[in-house]
Amino acid sequence: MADTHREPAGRFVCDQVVPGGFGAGFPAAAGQHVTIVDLHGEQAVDFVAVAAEDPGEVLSPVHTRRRNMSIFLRIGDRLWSNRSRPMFEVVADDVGVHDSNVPACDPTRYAVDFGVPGHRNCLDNLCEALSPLGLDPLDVPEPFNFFQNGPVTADGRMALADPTSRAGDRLVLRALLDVVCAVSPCPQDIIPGNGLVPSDVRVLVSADVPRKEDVPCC
Amino acid sequence: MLLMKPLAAAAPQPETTVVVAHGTAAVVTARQGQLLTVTDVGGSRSAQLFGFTRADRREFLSVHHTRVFSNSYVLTLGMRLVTNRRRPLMVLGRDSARAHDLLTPASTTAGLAAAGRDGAGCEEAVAAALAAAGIAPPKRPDPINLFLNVAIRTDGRLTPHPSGPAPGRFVTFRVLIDTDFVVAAAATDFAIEEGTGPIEVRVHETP
Repeated sequence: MADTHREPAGRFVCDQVVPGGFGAGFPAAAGQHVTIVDLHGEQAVDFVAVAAEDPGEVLSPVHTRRRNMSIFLRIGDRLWSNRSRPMFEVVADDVGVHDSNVPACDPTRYAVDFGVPGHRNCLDNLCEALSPLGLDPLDVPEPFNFFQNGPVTADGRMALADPTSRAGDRLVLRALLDVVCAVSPCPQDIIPGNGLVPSDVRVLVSADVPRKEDVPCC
Repeated sequence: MLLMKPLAAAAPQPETTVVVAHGTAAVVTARQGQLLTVTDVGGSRSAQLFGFTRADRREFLSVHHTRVFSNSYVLTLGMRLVTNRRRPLMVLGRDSARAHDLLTPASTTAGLAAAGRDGAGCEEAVAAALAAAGIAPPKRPDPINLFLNVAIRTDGRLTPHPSGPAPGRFVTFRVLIDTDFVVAAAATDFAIEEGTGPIEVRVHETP
């Protein structure tokens, strides 16, 4: 997990570029803002979080879907824990297209579905990023997949599509609890999902909502 | 029994029928090739289904992997229900209800109380059934919500609808991996009318 640090300007307590297909972890305190920037566009970002005080309380897409009665997110929506406490609020969103449905790609996704054992995958990335917490891989929460595009067809099927995000687009969440987060810019390079080329994202933690012009791009 | 090339004489597997009362859950074992039928006797309630493979409790029926395996937000006839390792655990072979939910969580006793409903939640009922059966899985997965009609729109909105009465509505799965299933007959915390009748679970050889 990356050390949080205060930039000289004091603007960001965490600022790191996460290479496409790899993972990173970082804490955020209640009231702070987590900004995820798609630096090059068309990149899905798996995101998980656990409560700092108890890693058994986790950000839960299934509970969030129930609370919001939607599989998608809008500005103002809250993201809920498995213990029915709000963990985040969506405060800014340049894209408006995110997925709360697809589990993290894992070794079996590549080995079973595509015959490619040994591929980098989000589950391993997230587990490694949370390794200071000593989580079993089974305890890595189900992810939100920010910027991932999973349209619903009229008959309830899930369409496959690349993200609509463009370079520099960002999502800002306000943490409502002290949390430890992990991201994985998804390494899927076989099927649509990341424009076939995983690319880097930036994660920021700040006291205030960063203005788009203040977000470092690349 | 599956129509396999004969490798060895297969011993007949025991057939089982269990009736699950409202607010409780039961564990039933089904072997590869057997059929698992879950019946909503009164036809106006939902049931929650979980499964843990007998060979490895770390491998279990995963509603999340099931959705992505078939690129579907809804459960349809012929769909493979898979484990967290993306192996087909069973196939939906018959379905007289045609409306199930793969997206919402198990109810809890506290959540039901907050919704003004009495009785044990799904999480508590399943925990009690697993403990009584001596099964201690390392993870408690999210449920397959049978007979729970939560419509999904193209804008992502979810809308629960009351269903039935359709007495005797049922689903039948062909089981592909030896599995201990847990079937709960818990209430939901949705603001819809729902019954409190029994759920019948049958493990059998022929349809």
